[in-house]
Amino acid sequence: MKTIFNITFVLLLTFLSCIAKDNPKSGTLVKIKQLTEEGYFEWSHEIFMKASALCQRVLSMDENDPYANYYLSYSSYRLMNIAMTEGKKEEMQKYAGLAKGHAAALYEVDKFKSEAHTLMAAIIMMELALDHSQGMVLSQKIHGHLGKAEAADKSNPRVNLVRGVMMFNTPEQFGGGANSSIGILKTADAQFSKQPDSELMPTWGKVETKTWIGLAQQKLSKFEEAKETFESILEIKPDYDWIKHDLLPALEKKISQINNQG
Amino acid sequence: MKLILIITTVSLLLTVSGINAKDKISVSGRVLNEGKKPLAFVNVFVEGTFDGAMSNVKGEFSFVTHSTGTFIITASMIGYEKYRKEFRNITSQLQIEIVLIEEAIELESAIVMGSSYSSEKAKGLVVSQVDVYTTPGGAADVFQSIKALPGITQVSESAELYVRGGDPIETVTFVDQASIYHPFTYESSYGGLFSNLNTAIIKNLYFTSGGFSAMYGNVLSGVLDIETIDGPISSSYNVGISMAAFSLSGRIPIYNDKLGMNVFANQSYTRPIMWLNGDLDQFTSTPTSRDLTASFVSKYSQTGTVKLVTLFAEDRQGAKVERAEYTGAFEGNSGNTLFNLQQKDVFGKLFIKNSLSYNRHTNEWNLGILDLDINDNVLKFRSDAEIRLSKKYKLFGGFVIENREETYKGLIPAEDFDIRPEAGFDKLDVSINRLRYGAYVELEVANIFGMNKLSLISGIRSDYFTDLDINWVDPRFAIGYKLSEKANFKFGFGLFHQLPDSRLYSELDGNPDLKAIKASHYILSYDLQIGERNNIRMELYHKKYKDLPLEDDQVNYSNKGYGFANGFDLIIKGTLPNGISGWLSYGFINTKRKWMDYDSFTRSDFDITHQLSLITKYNLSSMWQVGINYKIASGRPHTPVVGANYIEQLSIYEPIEGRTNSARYQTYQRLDFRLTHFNQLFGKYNTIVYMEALNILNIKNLFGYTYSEDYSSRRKVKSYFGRRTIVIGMSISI
Repeated sequence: MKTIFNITFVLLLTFLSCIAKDNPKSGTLVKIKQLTEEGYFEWSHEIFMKASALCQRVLSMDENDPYANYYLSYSSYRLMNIAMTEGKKEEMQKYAGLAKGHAAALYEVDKFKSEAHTLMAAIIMMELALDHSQGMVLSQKIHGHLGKAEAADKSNPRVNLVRGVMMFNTPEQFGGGANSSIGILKTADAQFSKQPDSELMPTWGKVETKTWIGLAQQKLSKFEEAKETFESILEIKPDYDWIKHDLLPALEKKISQINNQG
Repeated sequence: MKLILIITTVSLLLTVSGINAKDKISVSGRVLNEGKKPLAFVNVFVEGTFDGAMSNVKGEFSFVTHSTGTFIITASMIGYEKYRKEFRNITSQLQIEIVLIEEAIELESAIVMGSSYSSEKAKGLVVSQVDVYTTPGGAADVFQSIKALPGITQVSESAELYVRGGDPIETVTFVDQASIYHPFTYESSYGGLFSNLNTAIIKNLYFTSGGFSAMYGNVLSGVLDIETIDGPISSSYNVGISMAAFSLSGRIPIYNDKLGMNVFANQSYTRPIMWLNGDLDQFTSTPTSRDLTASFVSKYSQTGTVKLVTLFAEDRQGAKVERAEYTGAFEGNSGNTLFNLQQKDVFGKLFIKNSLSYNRHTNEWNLGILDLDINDNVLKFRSDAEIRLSKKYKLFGGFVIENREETYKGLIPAEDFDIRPEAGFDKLDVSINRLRYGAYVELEVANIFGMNKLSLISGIRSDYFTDLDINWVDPRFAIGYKLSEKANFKFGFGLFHQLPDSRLYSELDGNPDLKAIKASHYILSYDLQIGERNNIRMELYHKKYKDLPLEDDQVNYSNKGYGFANGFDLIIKGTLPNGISGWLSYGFINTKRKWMDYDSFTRSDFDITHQLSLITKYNLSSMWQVGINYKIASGRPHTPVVGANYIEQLSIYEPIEGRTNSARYQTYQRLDFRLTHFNQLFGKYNTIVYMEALNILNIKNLFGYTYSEDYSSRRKVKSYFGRRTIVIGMSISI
């Protein structure tokens, strides 16, 4: 009996490995999602390029694959971010076009409706950063997409993350600023704590939300609170490039200057 | 146990053999650009599989594929055209060199015809709605703000646009494809003072001062093309009040994002401001105006929109006028009505927009014997289409059918110098009808002659007036070269035709056989972007006029007039490191004409040789903004009165004029100041409070001269803003 059981077990394993080999799409999608997470924390152009490349390969087999469309849009959005920090405006515009095209392809996919509109709002927000003169038109569009994203899924924490960042970057005289953004970002943070884990669906933004809370605290001159926030982030993600190499050292320098003056 | 081991081994062998049973092909190679330089991060893969790799910094890649026989290899990278090639009968190894070709520059950013300023960055140097709202002294008026751009001559303080030596009728305003020939309030023979288009309804504006696209016909010098806002996404309301106006607006979604309306109402009342600034005695009836602008927007599909824009505007004014022969009151009323139904949709790569519009403008003028009613009715259908044939080619085309009927009824003085109520007069009852058919086609090409940075726009249009039997064919083109990512060079040429003022076609005192005026534009332009937010543009232009109307003893008017305008325009727009933003513009023009009643080929009324504008804004804090608008311009040419003859039977002096435009008024200068305070009430109602001081230095600019009865002495007449004027206002957004 034991022998039969063992034979069955080994054959089953063999069968499963064959299935996995012949249907590697889900594995690739998992890999893509992992790459986008790594790419964000390492702020790596190369990793996002790899993620994009894999998405394109999935789309060459099924152009309607919602996961590949989403992560290609998301990777392009991040590549757009990176291009902006490097001052490559034309490259940024090209990624914006790609990111918007693939996000828009998901508007009618129920499962992705909220995520697609949230991502579209984030992409347009980057375009706004590039061209402030379009503020009146683009901010309307951003709020429109966020409204649709929220209507599709009220618990999507990325809606409030993007809204909070938008508010942070809106001048105070138009109702924005750090003070207005912090409450929204904290709502997003609370939503993230309830967000179920998922192998394939988007879950990005949790640490980013805390980072923007820290930035808002810093802007409100709550330097010690901001430092605590940044340090707590590094406890979870010790290699988070933005905090580790930019935000925390700059904040510590600021605190030190204040202390020296005091 | 032995059995298990055997089975396990067999199973594993089976699994492994499952892989090895297929042929493996090793694919390797390099990816290069057209200049044979290696390209990194290129995604090279076998289509329909996950087999692939990304090229390294040397452009090299290698991977193994299990595809056999025929397969397609794809290589792609953003900014380059996709490589796609089929390979057949490959058995073990494939070595390939892939050359990626840089994508054609996106056509929108490659070249724009004409000298353009737009709220869409792709179309040219940016003039945003915010610029219109915050230009000091601009009164948030689109025309007054655009006048601060180079190429528009500061001939007067009216809202009319004198573009590069052209008469104001040579510039036409379009709103969602509809033509509006009189978009002004307080229109008199000296032009209108403000726009009756509410700035809040403007989504995009595109202004061009020459060399423009073939899509615009029957216009000689400039185009202001306005696209109105879309349907609202969320509800918002605004209340504004100032010493000169009261406004209400609402943006209301009616059914999700599928149907919505935008409503803007404005009532001006200038009495308080005139009283405060001491100008009340100049008016018999202080100028008042009201306008209601509304749009209803329906999004009937993912790509299709129908928009109905309506405008109702009216104004009246009564101003004291002192002339040599008569002192009285000028009474003026005008009205404007617009209905425009526009439909837009996208079908694959084809974008179509159609507009059916009706615009009615009425004007009544009374001064002494002058008693004139003017009606201008325009019914128009316009259709425009554009199709992107490929990344290199974009084709535009369209047609227009426009029926314009103008009527002039009433009494006009028989002699220009006698407007007294008892003066001789001519009775006018003239109706001029013009039916125009127009069509155009235009092609945009990127990468011409295989040069990636060279682009061309070439178009041709034709217009035909059925009743006048006048037609023309106008070719236009522009060629642009992208010197670098930040710098562009452009040359444009085009022929332009426009019918002269309708009144000249009157059978009574005009010539129904007049031809169209012809202009040739030559424009050389250089654009440079410095950093993210600073631009410089320099332009040299030459405009040649032919067939201008000229007074003629036999036929009243002939087409023997001619002229030219040569000039240089410069604009520097941007933000300094200390946060001061704005723009500096300079225009030089030399323009001469022989037309209308000119006695010789001489400088025209629009020859403002030098003109400089400086507009700056600075945020003192997050809640306070201060701005100035300084203008200085050469004085306007005018024809001096050098003497007078007494006409005994009329008991009046007839002025003797000197040489046409042989004198100039004093240099025009004006400094406007604006202080704006932004705030929030109760944490949610955005408020804006502002104080604007127009002509803060109280510089006595000239509007003209008024003469003594015998023309032996003259007195200066102040311009509209010839006295310091303070305006305080606020708005609340809910």
